[in-house]
Amino acid sequence: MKSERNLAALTDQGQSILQQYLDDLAIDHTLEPPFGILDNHLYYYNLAISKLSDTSSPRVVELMKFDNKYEFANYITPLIQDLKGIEKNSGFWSWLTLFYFDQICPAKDGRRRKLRNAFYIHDLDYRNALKHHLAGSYLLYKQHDELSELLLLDEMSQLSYFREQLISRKNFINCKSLVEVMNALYRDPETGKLKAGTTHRIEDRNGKLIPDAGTHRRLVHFEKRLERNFDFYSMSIEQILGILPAEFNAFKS
Amino acid sequence: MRRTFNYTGRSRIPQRRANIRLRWSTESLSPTFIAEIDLDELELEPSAKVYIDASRQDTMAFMRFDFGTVSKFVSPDNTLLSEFNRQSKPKFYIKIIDEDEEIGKIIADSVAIQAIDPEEISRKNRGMTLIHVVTEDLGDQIWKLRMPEQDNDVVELVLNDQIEEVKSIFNEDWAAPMMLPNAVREILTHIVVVLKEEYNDTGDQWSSYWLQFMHDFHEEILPTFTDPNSTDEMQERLTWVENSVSAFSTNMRFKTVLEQQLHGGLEDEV
Repeated sequence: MKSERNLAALTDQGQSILQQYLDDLAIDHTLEPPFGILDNHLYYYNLAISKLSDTSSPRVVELMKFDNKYEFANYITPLIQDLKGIEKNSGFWSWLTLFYFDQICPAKDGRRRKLRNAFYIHDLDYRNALKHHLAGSYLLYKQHDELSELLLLDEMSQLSYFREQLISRKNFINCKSLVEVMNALYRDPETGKLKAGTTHRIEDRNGKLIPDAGTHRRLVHFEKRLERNFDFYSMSIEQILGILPAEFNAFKS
Repeated sequence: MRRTFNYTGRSRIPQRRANIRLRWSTESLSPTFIAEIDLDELELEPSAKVYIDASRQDTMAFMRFDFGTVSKFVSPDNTLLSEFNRQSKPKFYIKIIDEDEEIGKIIADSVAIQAIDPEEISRKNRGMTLIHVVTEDLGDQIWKLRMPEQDNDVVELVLNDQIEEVKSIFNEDWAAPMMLPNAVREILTHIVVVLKEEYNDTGDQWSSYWLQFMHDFHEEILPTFTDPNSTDEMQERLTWVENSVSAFSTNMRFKTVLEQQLHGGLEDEV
């Protein structure tokens, strides 16, 4: 496969082939991706950059290795952020997904373990947008820049438990102050990774796993409770930290 | 059983008190907007800040506009909605915030407001919005409903934008009789069976608005749950939904409207 390509989008036919491949892959894990459609003009078209942006400079993506989604988002954002409507261009995200498919759904011993289709096909449903491996990473990075790193530390093929819970609350993930609070509580300043215990769960008296005190799911829980009273957009990080209950103190240090 | 109480002292700004209108120009692909809000009689703190938030969840676009205070409502110089365009219009939320005594405390807010778009010739009647119409690629589906995730949001009627002029198709006189009863049935079933909501005459959640709206057509009181696991009570509620849809259809004269569309008023000639 070519290691460099102009930005493109799959046609409806191309998207159907990718969709069918994903459906088939759920049954037969050894199927090879339909990389051939990336070279067949029936199934893709190059993006008309001059119509999508004021700057018509060519946009080329390279087939490179990303250690995590933050690296990917950091790489792709300057290439596409000025392209109008790119967030909702399903054909583009499907094309990019296929281009990087070996990283997004890598083969181990000849078998690929696929997640739900929404992770690969951008179906334009806002509830799924942030789950898409590539579009979701781009949206988070574009919105929060470096603050998004903690959310994007998962490998290209994964969606971490930490991220999955937080992106499920759109009001939380849209709000810069709350994302700052998330970083203040759970980012280890030395390693840049999650602090130990951030996603810890304990068993309740019935043996059911529940979030431990002060963990990220508890933060989401409190955000949901407090959002009816507090306008987080007009509050500083210190003000929000100040109204969180004592169970978060262990993570404040 | 899910019940909702408002102990917060927060007021809800009814949609009828807000008028938000988009304005398009040739200078930008994004619109500006003008807003008028009637805050009289809500007895709000005069010094409280007034913000209008414009947002979309699918693109994470969010813009906040400062409209001064309750006593001095002033439109900002620039209301360009640069994060939005014709394919991606925002919903608007009005928020009245106490930034003096209790920082960031919401003392009043609105449900999602869909702006009046002069380019949308289809939007003839305003009134309270119970459904927002949006378009998306739905593959081979023609339309679907999307239930709100939040209490202050609105049901979305999603039309397939891969069908040319899809919105105008739904504006045809035969469209409402063909699809609205099913849509109302799905919404009511979601509210009274899935969410297990109760009728609340003064509730200000989207589900309460729907039940209040249906009450105008169908006065039969929604049976209350005494045991949410009771299949008999569930069945009573499903029957209530069917009766409500029937009353709604009668009130809207769907059968007559469709017959006139099909037969061109042939009945009148007999």
